[in-house]
Amino acid sequence: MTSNRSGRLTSWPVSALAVRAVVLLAPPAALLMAGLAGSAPPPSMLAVVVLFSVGFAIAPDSGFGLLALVSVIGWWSVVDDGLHATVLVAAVLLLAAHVAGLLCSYGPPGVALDADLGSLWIARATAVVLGAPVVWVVARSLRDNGPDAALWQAGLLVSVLAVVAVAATLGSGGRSAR
Amino acid sequence: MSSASTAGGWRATGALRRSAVLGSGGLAWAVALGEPVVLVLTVPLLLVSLPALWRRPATSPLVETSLLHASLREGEGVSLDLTVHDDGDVEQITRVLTPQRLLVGRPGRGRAVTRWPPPRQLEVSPRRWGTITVTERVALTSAWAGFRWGPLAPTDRPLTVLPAAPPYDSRAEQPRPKGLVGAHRSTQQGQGSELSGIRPFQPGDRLRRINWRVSARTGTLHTTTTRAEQDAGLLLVVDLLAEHGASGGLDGSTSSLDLTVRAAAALAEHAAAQGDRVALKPIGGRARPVPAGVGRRHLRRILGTLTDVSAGSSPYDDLTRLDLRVGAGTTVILLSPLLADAIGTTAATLTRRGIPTMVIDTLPDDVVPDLPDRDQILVDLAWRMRRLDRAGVLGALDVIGCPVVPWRGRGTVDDVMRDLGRRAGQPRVRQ
Repeated sequence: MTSNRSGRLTSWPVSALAVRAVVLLAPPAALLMAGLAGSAPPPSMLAVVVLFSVGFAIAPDSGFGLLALVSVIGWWSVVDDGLHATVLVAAVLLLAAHVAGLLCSYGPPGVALDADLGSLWIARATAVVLGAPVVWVVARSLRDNGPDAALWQAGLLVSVLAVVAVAATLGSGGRSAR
Repeated sequence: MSSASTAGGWRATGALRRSAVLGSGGLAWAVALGEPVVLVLTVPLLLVSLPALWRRPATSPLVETSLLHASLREGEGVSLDLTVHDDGDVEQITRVLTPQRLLVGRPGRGRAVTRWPPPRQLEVSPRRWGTITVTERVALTSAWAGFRWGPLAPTDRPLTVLPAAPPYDSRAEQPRPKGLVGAHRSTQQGQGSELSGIRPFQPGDRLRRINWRVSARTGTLHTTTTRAEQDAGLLLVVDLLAEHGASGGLDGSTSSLDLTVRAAAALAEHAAAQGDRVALKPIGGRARPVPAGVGRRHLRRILGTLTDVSAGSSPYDDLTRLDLRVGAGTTVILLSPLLADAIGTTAATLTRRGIPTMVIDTLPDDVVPDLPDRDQILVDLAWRMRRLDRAGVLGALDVIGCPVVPWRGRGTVDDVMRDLGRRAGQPRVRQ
C-alpha cells in the first residue's frame, strides 16, 4: 500500500523520516563495514548500492530492497576475512534496513510510525538478530579447527535446525500472546 | 449506515518475499559454496520469514465500516467506525481516508497505521456545507507482516453537511405579525398576556378580564385589555446566480455563497425557534423553493435544501419577472451580493408595495475577480464598473427606504427589524 506519494518531506512526522532514513542509509553502511574487514568496496559498487537503496526508500514494497541487500551480501561473500567481527554489525544493519522497509510498507508515505507497532518490531528484531552471533561463533570455531568442509557443513545444518526451531517458537509464541 | 467489504484474499507482502528469498537463498548459498559469512548475514532475515510463513493466515476477514451520523454541521466531527469480522489472523491495520478538499481527518490527517485492534477510530470533520462522499481504503496484515489482505475500499458513505448556523439571537420583533397564535406581540388588541391598557367595561367583555382593584377605586367596572400574540412569516430569498470569492471552509476565506447559505440557515433556525412560518425562495442555481411552514421538520427541509444549493444561472431564469408571492404578515429578507440588477429591482418593488423587506449584503469585503488568463487591466476595470453599478443599486435602495446590511452574525437584523416595525405601525400612502 505505497501509492499516493504526494506530500512534501517537510510535512512528514519525525518517525516516518527516521524510518526512511534507516532504509536509505543502512545498506550502504553495511557495505562500508567491509572496509573495516580489509576489503573496501569500489565507488562503483557503493554507487550501485546507494541507487538501490534510494529505490528501496521510495518504494519499500518493490524489488529494490532485495537488490540492495543481495548486493551487500554478495560483496561480503568475496571479502577476504568474511568472518571479521564487523560482519555482525553488517548483519544488524541489513536487518534494520529490512525491518524499516517493512514498517514503511505498512502504509502510504508520510504516515507516523505507531509507537506500539514500532516497539513490537524492535523487540522482534532484537530477538532474531541474536541468530547472527550464534552462527558467527559456530562458523569461527569451525574455521579455527580446520578446513574440514563436512564438519562445518554439519555445523551449519545444526544451526539451521536450531534456527527453524527458534522461528517456530517465535511464531507460536506470538499467536498465543495475542 | 454501514458497509461491508471483502478482498481477493491474503497475498504475500514484499517484506516476506524479500526475507524469504534472502533467508533461504543465503542458506543454500552458504552451504553450497561454503560461505559461512553469507549465513551470518542472512540468518536474521530467515528468522523473520519463518514465523510469517508458519502463521500463514487461513481466515477471511470481513471489513465493515459505519458512520455514526448521516448528517452533521460543518465543523463538527463524526467517527468512522470500523469492525473486522473473522479477525483471528490480523495483526496490523492500515486505514487511509481518501483526501478531499475541506475534509479533515483525524488522527494523522486521516491515515492510521496501528496494531489490531486500533486504539481509536478515524474521525472526519467536513469544513464546508454540502453533500460529500467519505471514502477510505483499508489493508490488514497478518502476523510478522507476512501476508496482506487488501487494500480494499468499503462502500462509499454519503454525508450531509448542514451549514453551521452562527450564534444568532435576535430580540427584535417581527414588523407585521399576522396569524392565529405565536410569540410576537401584535399591534392589535386580543387574547394575549401582554398588557395593553385598562378601560371602562363594555358589553361583551369577559368577566374574568375585570380589574377589580381599579373598579373598586373608581367605583365603575374596568377591564384589563391585552395585545394579541401572533405568529409571523419570514421569506428568505437567496441569490444563487453566482458565487463570488473562494470558499476556504469554516476556518478559511468565505465566498458570497457561504455567507448566503450560513446566514439563511441562521435566520431560518431563529424563526423556526420562534414558531414563525419560514419559506425559502432560491433565485438561480439548482434548488427548489420551500413553501412556508413551521416546526423542526420544516426547518430540516430548509437546511437540507440549503445544503444542496449550488451557484449558477440558466437561460430559463426569468429574472425580470420574479414572483415571490408574498403573503400578509410576511417579512422578506433577500440575501444577495447585489451584483444582479434583478435583485435590487425586486427589493425595491417589495418595499414600494409596503412589504417589510430588507437585504443582507453577502458580498465579502476582500473579494476580487480570479481570472488569471485574462488581461488584468481589463478585469480590474470591469470589476470597478461592476462595483460602481452595485453602489448605485445600494444608493437607490437607500433612497426608497429598503435597508441593506452586511451579515455580521448575532444581532445583524435587530436594528433593521425595529425600524421596520416602527414603520409598519405608521400610516402610509400607496404610490
